[in-house]
Parts: sequence; C-alpha cells; structure tokens
Amino acid sequence: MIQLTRLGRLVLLAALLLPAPAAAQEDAAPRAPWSERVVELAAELPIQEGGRVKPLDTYAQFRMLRMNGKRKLKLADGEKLTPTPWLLDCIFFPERARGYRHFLVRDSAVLDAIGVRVPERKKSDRYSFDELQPGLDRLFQEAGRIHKIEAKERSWIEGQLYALATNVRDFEDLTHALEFARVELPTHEGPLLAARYGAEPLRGVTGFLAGVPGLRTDFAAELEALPEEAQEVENSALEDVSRAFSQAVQLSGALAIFPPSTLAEEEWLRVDGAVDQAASGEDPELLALLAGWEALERAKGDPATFERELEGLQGRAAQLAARRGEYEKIPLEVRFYRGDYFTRALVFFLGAFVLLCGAWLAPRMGWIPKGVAALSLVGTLLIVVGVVLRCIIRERPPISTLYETILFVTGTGAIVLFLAEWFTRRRIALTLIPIWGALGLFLAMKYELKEAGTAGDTMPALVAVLDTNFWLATHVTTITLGYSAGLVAAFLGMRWILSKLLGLRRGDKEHYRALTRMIYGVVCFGLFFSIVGTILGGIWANYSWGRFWGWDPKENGALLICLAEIMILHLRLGGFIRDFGLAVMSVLNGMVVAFSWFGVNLLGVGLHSYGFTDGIALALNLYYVLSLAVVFAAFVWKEISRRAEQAAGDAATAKS
Amino acid sequence: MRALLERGLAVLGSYGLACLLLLDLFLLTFFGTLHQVEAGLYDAQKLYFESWWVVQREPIPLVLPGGLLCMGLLAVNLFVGGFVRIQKSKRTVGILVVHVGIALLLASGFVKLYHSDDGYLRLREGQASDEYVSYHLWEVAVWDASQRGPVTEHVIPHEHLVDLTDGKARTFWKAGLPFELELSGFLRNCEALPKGPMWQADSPVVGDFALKRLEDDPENENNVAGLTARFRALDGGATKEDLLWGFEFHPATFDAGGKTWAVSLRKARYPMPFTIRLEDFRKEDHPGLSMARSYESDVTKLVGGLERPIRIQMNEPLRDGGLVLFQSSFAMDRDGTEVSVFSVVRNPSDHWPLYACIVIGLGLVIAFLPKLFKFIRAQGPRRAATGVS
Repeated sequence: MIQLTRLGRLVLLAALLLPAPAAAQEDAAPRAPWSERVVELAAELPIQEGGRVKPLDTYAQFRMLRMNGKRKLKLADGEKLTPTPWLLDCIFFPERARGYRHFLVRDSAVLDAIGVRVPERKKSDRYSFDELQPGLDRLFQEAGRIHKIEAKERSWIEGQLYALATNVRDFEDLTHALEFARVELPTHEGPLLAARYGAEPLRGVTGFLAGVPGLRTDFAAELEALPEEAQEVENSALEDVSRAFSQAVQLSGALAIFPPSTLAEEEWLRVDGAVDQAASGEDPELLALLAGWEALERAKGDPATFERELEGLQGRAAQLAARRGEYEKIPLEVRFYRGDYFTRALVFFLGAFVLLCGAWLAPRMGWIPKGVAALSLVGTLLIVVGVVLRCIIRERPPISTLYETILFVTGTGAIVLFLAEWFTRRRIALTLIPIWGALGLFLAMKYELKEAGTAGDTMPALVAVLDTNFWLATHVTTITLGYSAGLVAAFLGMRWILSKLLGLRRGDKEHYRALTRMIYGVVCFGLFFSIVGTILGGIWANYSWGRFWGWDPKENGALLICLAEIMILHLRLGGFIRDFGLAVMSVLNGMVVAFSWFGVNLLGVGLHSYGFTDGIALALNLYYVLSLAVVFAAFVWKEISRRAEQAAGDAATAKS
Repeated sequence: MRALLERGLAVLGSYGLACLLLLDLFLLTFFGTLHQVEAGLYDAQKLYFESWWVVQREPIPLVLPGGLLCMGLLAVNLFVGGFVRIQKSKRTVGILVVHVGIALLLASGFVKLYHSDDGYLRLREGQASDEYVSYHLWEVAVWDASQRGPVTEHVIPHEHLVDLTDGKARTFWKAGLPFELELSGFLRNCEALPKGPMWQADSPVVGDFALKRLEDDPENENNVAGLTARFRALDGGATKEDLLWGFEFHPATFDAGGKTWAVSLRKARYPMPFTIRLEDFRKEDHPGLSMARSYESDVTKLVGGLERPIRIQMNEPLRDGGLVLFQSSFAMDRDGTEVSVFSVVRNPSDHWPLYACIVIGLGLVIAFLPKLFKFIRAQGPRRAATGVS
C-alpha cells in the first residue's frame, strides 16, 4: 500500500470529503452511553504511535487534548465525554461525532479566513465538523499553502489555520478508521463471486479475505470456463469489488493497531498492512483481529454484544502484544492517566493556597499552617508518585523531555522548600510551597498542551544521542536540580523583598536573617548541582560530539547559572552585598535560570535541537517582567528606607 | 616596592577583581550566545571567546575584555586569591580543592585551544582512509602531478591564507620547487562561475571563469573559500594566473622544470596513526517514525598489517593513538551506498574535565556539608531563643 505524506493525506482527504457513506447515516442517532467495562477494555487496547506501543486511552487523551484543548467534552445533551468514549464515538458513530463541538479555534479570524460564519460565538470557541464543513475546501487550500512556509515564519493565524486543518484531517481519519468494516463489497454482481459470497453485498473486508486462498486456486479456472459475455460481467464485478475494497482499506489507515507477525518487525500495521498480510493467508491472527473490529462495528447498536466482542478483541490484541513484550506497561499507563496525579496535586496546592490566604486573614488559627503543610505535602507526594510511575512506564530516569523537567523542578523545589521549613520551622518556606507547586503545575499543564500539538504525547521517542540512561540519570538530573534550586532561591528572594515592601514582621530581624540564610543555603545547593551538572554535560558532550565545550546555547545557559551563582557567593564573601543584595541577586539569578532552562531553546540554534520549543515565550517573558518589577520595587524601597532613616537621623540630630 | 607588590597582589587576588571578571565572562557568554542566532557559532566563538577584546556596536555598544584575556586574568586571580592569599585553615580546605578543580578546568581549556585539532572522516561502505579533514581550516597543497604513486606534498597552512584580502598577496617558494606561487584575493565564501555580464567578479577572470563572493554562511563549515594564484617559473620563463576554489574537482596545474605541478585549495587534512575502513553502517529508526533511534558503524582498524574489527556508535567512540572517533552523522551517496561520518578529535586534555568534575564536586561537598550541618545544629537554639515551635 502507498504510504502518504502528511500533506498528501491532507490533499487526499480534501478531495475525499465524501458525503458520509449510506451505512453510516444511522450513526447520527442517539447511542446508549458506553458502559464502564467497555471503556475499561477499549482503554487497554494496544496501539503504536510516536515510536512506541501505548494504550488506546493515551492516544485518545492526547488527540482530544490537541483538538479540544482539554480532556473533557460536554455534549449538547449534557453527556460528558472523557477521551476513550469520545474516541469510540469518533470511530463507531462518525455522524454523531461530526456534530461534536470539539475543534478549539483560538481566534475567530481563522473562521473568517475560511469563510465560515457561526453566529453568537466567542473569539476563542469550539466548533463541530458540521459547522466547519462549508469552509473545509478553503481550509485545506490554505493548509497546502502554509505547509510550504517554515513553522517559525508562520503568522499566528497561519499557525492556527494549519493546526485546525491538521485536527480536521485527524478527525476525518478517525471517522474513517472502520471504513474497511463498513464497506459493502458488490460481490453479488458476478455469478461466480455470488456463488462464493452469497447473493447479498458483502459487508466488511474480512469475509472476502477469508475466501482469497480459494479464489487464488480455483477462480481463474472457473472464469476460463465461462462464456465470454459472462466473463466480462464477472471481471467487471471483480473490478468493482477491488475498487471498493482498496478505497475502504486506504481510508481506514488511522490506527496502527495490528502487531506485525514476526518479532523482527517493529512497526505495527495499519489496516492496509494487516490486510496485505492476512490476504497472504500466513497470519490467521491478523485476520481474526480484523474480523474482531468488524464484529464490533456490527454490534455497536447492541451494548451487550459489543461488550462481549470487545472483550474478545482486547484479549487477542493484548495476547499478541504481550508475546512481543509490548503489553506489560499498558495497564499501568492507563492507571497512570486515570490517576491524573498532576491535576490532583494542583488541586491540593490550590487548596493549600486558599488556606494560606485564610491564615493571612486569621493569623491566630493555629491549625491553618498545619493544614497548609498537610495539603502541600499531599500535593508534593502526588507529584513524586506521578514522576515515579512515568519512570517505570518509560524505563527511563525522571527526565528525558522538557515537560519532565517542569515536573521534576516543581517536585524537587517543593521538597527543598519542605526541607528548609523542616530545618527552620519559621513558616517562611511553608508559605511558598503552595504557590510554587501551583505555578509549576500550571506551567506543566500548558506545556502538556503544547506537547499534545507537537509530539502527540508527553512520552515521545528520544533522538539517538539521548538514548542513554546513564547520562540522563546523571547530567540531566543534576543540572535540573540546579535549575530547581536557583528558582527556589529566587522565590525566597522575592519573599524577602515583598515582605520588606509590605512591611511584614517589621522589626523582626531574626525572621529576615533566617530568610537570608535560607537563600544563601539554597544558592549553595544550586551551585553544587549546577557546576557538577554542567561539567557532567561537558563530559557527555565529549563522549557524544567529540568536544567538552562547544559554546552551544544550552551549554552557555548552564555556564551562565554557574557564573551568576559563583558571583553571588564571591560578592557576599567580599562584603559587596548583604541581605538586601543577596535577595536581589537571587531574583536576578532566577531570571538567568529561566533563560537557561527555556530561553535558549527559543533562540532556535544549537545542538540541543531535541529540546526546542515554542509557545512558552509568553510565560517566560511574564517571569522576566515580574522579576524585574520585583527588583525595581526593591531598589525603590531601599531608597525610600534610606531617605526615611536619613530624615529620622536628621530629626534626632536637630532634637539633640 | 614591597608594599607596591603586595598592593598589586592584593588587587590581583581580590574578590572585587574576581567579581568583575566573572561579570565579564557572564556578559561574554550571554552576548556570545545571542550572537550565534545571526552569525553562527564559529564567528561567535572567534569574536567573544577566543579574542583579547570585544568591541561591538550592535545590538548594544560594548567594549569588554574578550574570552582569552578574561580567562587569563581569572587564572591569575584564582592563583593569587584562591591559592596564595587565601587563609589556609580547616574551614577553607573545600574551597581550595574547588579552586584546584577550576584551575584544572581552565588548564584543559587552554590545552584544548592551543594543542588540539578536530575534523571529520567521511567513509563510504568499503572505503578506507588514514587521514581526517578539518571542519574549518583550509590549506593549499602543491605536488608533482607528473609523478606516479605516492607523492610528497608541500602544504601552505590556513593562517598564511586567510589574511590575503584587500589586495594583500604572499609569495611562496620551497627548495625543490622550480616556480614561485603568489596567492592573493582570499574569499571566505565564494562560488566559481562562468563570467557573464550580469555580475561583478571578485577575482580575475581566468578562462572565462571567475570567483563570486557569497554571503558568509553562519555554519562556517558550509563556507567554500577561494584564492587567486599566480605562478612564475624561476628560470624566468612561463607565468600563469589561475583560480583556486575549495569545491574544485581538478587542481590547477603549472608546467615548470620539465614537470607538471598541481596546486589545490582544500580543507586541511591531518594524518592518523592507523587506517580505518568502513565495513557496514546501520541506522535504526523508531518504529513508525523517520527519527533515528540509533546508528552505528562496523569498522576495521588497520595498523602494521594487523586488522581489528571495532564498532563505533552513538555515545561509544573509538579512542586510540591519541585520537577519538565519534559516530557523528550519516548520509546516502547518489548510488545508494551508505556513508558514515565520524568526528575525529585529537585533544591531549581529553579526560581532564572529568578529573576536574570529580575534584570540584569533592571540594564543594567538603566546603558546603559542614556549613549545612552547622546551620541545622544552630536551628534548635535559634528556635528556642525566638520561641518558634
């Protein structure tokens, strides 16, 4: 079968914006909600995507996230769909799914560009396939034009148009995923074919495939024996069957859900590949899987039969994947996403933050700090559990992607703050944990959305140079601990400055001394990991690229952190800065960390091209602006304090 | 005098100087990183990190001590402040150890800068080579083309070529050569084209061809240099003008002393103490993606009649004879033969950063751990004193 490029598929779909097949018209009718058992079974179906075998649930999660911008969809009738039921609807009830408003359009100018008008909608809103349909020709034309423009050269609207076209194409792919099961092959049109396959059109391709070995051995002779006119009728029928068969199989290529026959082959098959192998008669298991999907399509109106058929199909698919050693982690991954640890952690941090606000309003209620600590602890533990589960699923150390650095920085930063609180018991670090955790997890959620759009998953395949658990565990982990400590120190510095600005604990020198000691300690902690991590990175580069240091932007970013932190220590040792200077410098150091962590990736040059990212610039710039504002405010406060002290001194002198 | 010396030492080893130098290095690193976006790594490296001074007008006017001066002064500051003047006590043992590690790191950088070379080795399957080619440096090679078999080459190195701009010319001659070679008009990136009326030549027109200057490529290895060559026979006879271009298929030739001499501009070549033959190259993609999961080369090392099979793959280089060969990239020749590309580095300080890392890590542990314990021990009494529970 022909492998089409992304653009090719896009153009083909534009051409094939067919009216829905007659057999699918009934799909628009209401369907019984998917039972829990069906969702559970479907979630654990194995599928290969993005270079690895994953649960269908993960595939559904990220498709839905990319298309819809979130993992839930509320239908017009009030039903709420989670990813797997949504995917099942797209596959089994395409007509119904075409009415779902799951295409997030972030700017209504996109609709203007393709000539679609839907009244009374917001600037950023969701639309259904049916609503977009009048503009699809234009959309795909535009997508074809934009495809030729380099991604970073595209305007905002062009980027949104292209993303929408990709989502519509993917949705179309999904709705056609079972075309091979729905197709009606006109086998009744030729007498010989009718004798083999019956007097009615044959529904689905597997019935036909099962008869292929017989056709191969006897059909040519039987055809020869027919009179010429009858041969023509038979040949014509055979051509019709072949055309319908090919078109259906070609349209059904959305999902790589068929494990290859031999262990040597790593790439899972889509319907076309599975049909090729099944037609050879050498792999009855593939034919059984194809037949299983056809049976599901036939049983979709009967929940009990559907569940039974799905149970059989899931069991067969799981068995085949397990034989290849590719099923072991699937149930765990489903549980991991069901656990939704990071969203839950965010809820706990937000809860802690609300309590914290309560503590500011009612400072004498002693149980509130304990509640903040408890909720923050649960949030932190949830991050730790989530990260550990990701390590087990990926069989990797905690960090191999930028997304994972966010989780790691958030988790370890919270732990560092807990340790600082544990040592000092001053409720200084404690007050920062909920804010730290919530901000980190918000950033992670935003980045996850970006990953859904670009990598399709937050557990993507790694480029060859990263395929080393030793260096991922040593260099990447230590340097990221350095990031974490640098940012925690910046948070503590902000806390120091803002406390002074707001006049909190005025006169409590010990409070501020404790805060300063904390900043200093965390900067030292960060310096240790930054230096060791940077040098380890150089050693890895020496092994991989042949040089210890190449002035690559990411390497330079790490060096900037080391230099900034060494500078802080020397400024303090030399007596050039004291408490105020340390707080200000730690905030500035936080900007250096942010530049090194994400900023250099936005430059778009260097060898660390596997870590490039866009869409994060806004968050980064906000952080820079906030930090500069805090530093500016600190200097204003310092000047005001100096003048006030001077005025007080002058007044005292005048009095005496 | 002694007081002046002490004062000088105090300044050289001071925290103030250390902070200023660290700030300078910080700014160099920051602006050098930004400069790469437009001008590429090679230029940024030369301008900011391998220079004595940085003088720039854009994006912001800047005059700074360059990387060489800064790191040189930092080494002096480290020596005076971090070894000589530092108070030697149990408290500063860790800091001293850290300084030893940093000194080792600076030394390894110095050795790398002045005593190493690097390049690449590009082999088709079945092909063997005993030399590697520089990424950035050019050379002009002169040899007797009328001779059969191995020839002796006379090589004019990169540093004698790159300054031949703005009308500057240099004449080369070596004992045994019956002619002089005058080189001029060095172009960092150019193209040899048939001269037409539509463009201005940046070299003399020779045989209807001329060199056209191209904008410098930020990726310096993509730049193709060009030169103008003038041959003069020593017997006062023939003269000839020709063009040398880095992508030429055939060398320029000159007949003198009864022989035909060939002259070629090419990337500098370095000999290896062994020969490498590529037997097989394999690339494995992630299933269903066109992203390489791994690539590796089976090679044979040939030296002194002995053959040794070796596998070179990502993160697992070959280290031998002072050289390190890394699997760097791959390509496919027009005839479908797989080509493997190795980075080759000769760096006497190859492992020094690892030793420095261990020393610095150890030093930081010695320096910071006692402070942490002291801090933790102090918290109990502090809490008691301030009534914090």
